[in-house]
Amino acid sequence: MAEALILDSEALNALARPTERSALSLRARAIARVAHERGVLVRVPAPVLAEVCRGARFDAAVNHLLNRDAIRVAELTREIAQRAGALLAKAGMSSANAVDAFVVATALEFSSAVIATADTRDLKRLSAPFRQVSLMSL
Amino acid sequence: MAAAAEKLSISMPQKLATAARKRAGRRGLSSFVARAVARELEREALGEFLAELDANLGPVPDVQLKRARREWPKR
Repeated sequence: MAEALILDSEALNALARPTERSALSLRARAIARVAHERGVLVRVPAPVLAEVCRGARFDAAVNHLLNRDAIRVAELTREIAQRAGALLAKAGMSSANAVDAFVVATALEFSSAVIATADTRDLKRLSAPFRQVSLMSL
Repeated sequence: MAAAAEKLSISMPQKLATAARKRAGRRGLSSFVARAVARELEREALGEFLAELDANLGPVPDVQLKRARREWPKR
């Protein structure tokens, strides 16, 4: 299913609150702009919202962004959750990295995907076996 | 839970219609067109969002855009 740009928590934050995170935000905007140029879908894996939604001030910005229907939430399905578990096992990682695993498992739903993230170390371990998944560091 | 469907009568160039039918195949033209329209709406909404950020905060510097284009994986 098409190509996707997957936003990790820092990338979502940078786009939702661009004035407060200006350096990261410029980078995130540049990446999103290239996605737009290429006709790539932009997705936020649902579990990422658990890392970003931290009370009214944060939630308002995130809701404002997601309600525009320009960037959609990729729902967490049974298949994605089970695949995430398999990825953790394969990488020898614990549930502490569950959200990272959900992010990579969501990326694998697409024919190819770029993950925009500030956490390349853990995501690299999880996505290493998959050529169709690439990381772009914020 | 399938959303209610609305029947539309639309026109498009014949060559395009033939290509769409061929590509849609067993999935059916309606779902093919619905998916294409959904993607286009989403793409336009993304363009508007990014343009708004440019207008409010100033454009993304060219050097940043070039870097992102360069780094985007070639497949």
